[in-house]
Amino acid sequence: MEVGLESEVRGDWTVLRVKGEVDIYTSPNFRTELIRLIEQGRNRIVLDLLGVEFMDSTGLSVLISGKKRTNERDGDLRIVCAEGPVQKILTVTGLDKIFSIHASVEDAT
Amino acid sequence: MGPVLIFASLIGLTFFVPEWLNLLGAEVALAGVLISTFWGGTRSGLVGMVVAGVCLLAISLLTSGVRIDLVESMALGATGLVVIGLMEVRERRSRQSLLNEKLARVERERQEAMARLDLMEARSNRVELLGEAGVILASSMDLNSTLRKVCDLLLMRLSDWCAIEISEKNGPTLPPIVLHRDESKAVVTEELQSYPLRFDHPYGAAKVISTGEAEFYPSVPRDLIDRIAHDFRHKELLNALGFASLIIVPLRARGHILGTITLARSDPSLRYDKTDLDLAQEFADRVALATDNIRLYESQKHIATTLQESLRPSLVERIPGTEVAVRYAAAGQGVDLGGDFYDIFSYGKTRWAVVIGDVSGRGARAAALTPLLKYTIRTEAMQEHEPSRILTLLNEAILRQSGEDQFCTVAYTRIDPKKDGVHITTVCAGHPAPLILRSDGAVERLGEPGTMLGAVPEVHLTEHRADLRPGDAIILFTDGVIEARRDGENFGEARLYTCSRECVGLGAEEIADTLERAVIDYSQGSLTDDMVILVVKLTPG
Repeated sequence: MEVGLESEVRGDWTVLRVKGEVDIYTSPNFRTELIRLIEQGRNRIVLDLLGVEFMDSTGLSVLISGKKRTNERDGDLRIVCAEGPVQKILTVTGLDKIFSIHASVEDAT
Repeated sequence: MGPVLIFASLIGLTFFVPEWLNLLGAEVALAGVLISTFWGGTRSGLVGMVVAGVCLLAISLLTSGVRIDLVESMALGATGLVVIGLMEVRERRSRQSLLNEKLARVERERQEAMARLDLMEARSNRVELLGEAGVILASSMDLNSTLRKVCDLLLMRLSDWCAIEISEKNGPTLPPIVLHRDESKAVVTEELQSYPLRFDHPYGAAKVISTGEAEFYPSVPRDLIDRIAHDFRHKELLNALGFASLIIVPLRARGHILGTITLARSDPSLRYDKTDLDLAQEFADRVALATDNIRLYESQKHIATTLQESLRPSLVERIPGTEVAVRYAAAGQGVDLGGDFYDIFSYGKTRWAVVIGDVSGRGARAAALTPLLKYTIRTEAMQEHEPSRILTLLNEAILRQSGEDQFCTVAYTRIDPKKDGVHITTVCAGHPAPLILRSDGAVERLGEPGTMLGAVPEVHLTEHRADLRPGDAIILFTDGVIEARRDGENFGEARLYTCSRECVGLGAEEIADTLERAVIDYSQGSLTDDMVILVVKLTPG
């Protein structure tokens, strides 16, 4: 199982597109990439999770540390996802009220 | 070299013979001598000599009639013959010594090749033995069965009988393992296993453990068994094993001596040598490291299961008027602990709390956070009665005490007695909502999604209330239930509701069993996450 990670800059925002399954095996790569972007000074991040088929609690922990780090740097971390596994886990864990969630990258930026 | 000598001697001859010697005759003779010498020289030994001699005689006779007188030409021929003869002898000698030299070289090379072959064989034995040991040592985490397999390997490759003692001077001691290649000796080896090491009797293995030095007897002295044996019977048994050649090597790992391996050959014609001793020690080093790892794993597993027992007690407090059943199924093995936990406790005499939760991640880190949660909840519950308040305080405790990426989900249900049943208040903090199975088969969701704990300082938690009557049940579970997977699809809440509906009329234990079986069957026996199912059913009135 692999996780696909691509980033692009859109104005003030850096979009990190995540694809595949985010679980205990793939989360470390996701975390490293996200933290690398933030440490490079990209404190306004949009996570495009439309292509994520599965996410477990280790994936959530990446979202949360990303959110904490960007907030500490006066930035923000926004999430793009549709109805599906990511939306479901965000709702169950109550994180849908913490993150700003958007339907498309255009909406988020 | 030979022809040059002849040439030189003939030149000399032409100087010293009397002046009446005809120059032409001498030259013809000289040419004859040279030709015959070269020609003869190409033949070996006597044939060459005879041919050269006949040629010389013929030339002498031929030339004598013309210029030189017979006697002188004969003398010339004879001189050539003698010179050639001498040369032949020299040649033969040198040929013989050359041959001897060649033979010696061949013999030396043969011996070197044999030695190389021996070395290669020893090396390949070593590689094979250590390779097979590696496979055995990596195959299991059960110490006793691993050591027995190690003994089997030694019997196959290195010894007629062998013994492994796992014993430390002030540490744990296992009964020795003794095995003999000859199965008819099983009675003897079995009885020997009832002789543990005695450190007050410092011979054999006990001595090796004390000193850390291997004992090596290429040929076992007669009195050795007398010294090793504890008593007369022990001596009889040892003698029955047969000692011709003996190696006892220490099992050393991480600076400790864990025990010994004893190797022995009973056939006096097959004695151990230094190579065997080195191999035995190298082998023992690997066995020792694996033994140490297995013991480390066992002690971790012991800690883990003890911890697990405290987090997921198999015996929970009884809530009067209810039946409680718990099922826990682990996805991992041994020390790979999941973070699922549950707890049931009373507030004063009549109120109860049922808690179920899941800590993010697995293993030691998850296990370390879980007691904090469990005891924080119990402590807060002493002061605060509102479930949402208790979980808000828990959130603060986690944020204060754990790493940034550790969080948990909790479903907390308070049970208050009321006339004809109970009143329940449930809060879900990031946890899937429990459900109510009514006595008529209706299924209701109990609680609304709230924020998981440990993620952010501000949590949104909503209390959800319901009344239960006798025969109703609450079913609490962790996400391992609804996230059980088959062909990329989750078991899901809908399936859980359907299964629960079918449990109407069953007792708490049967409900828990049915649901557990449904999830395990769905995942075809391979759970991706641990799961807990906790059922509280009000005893039907």
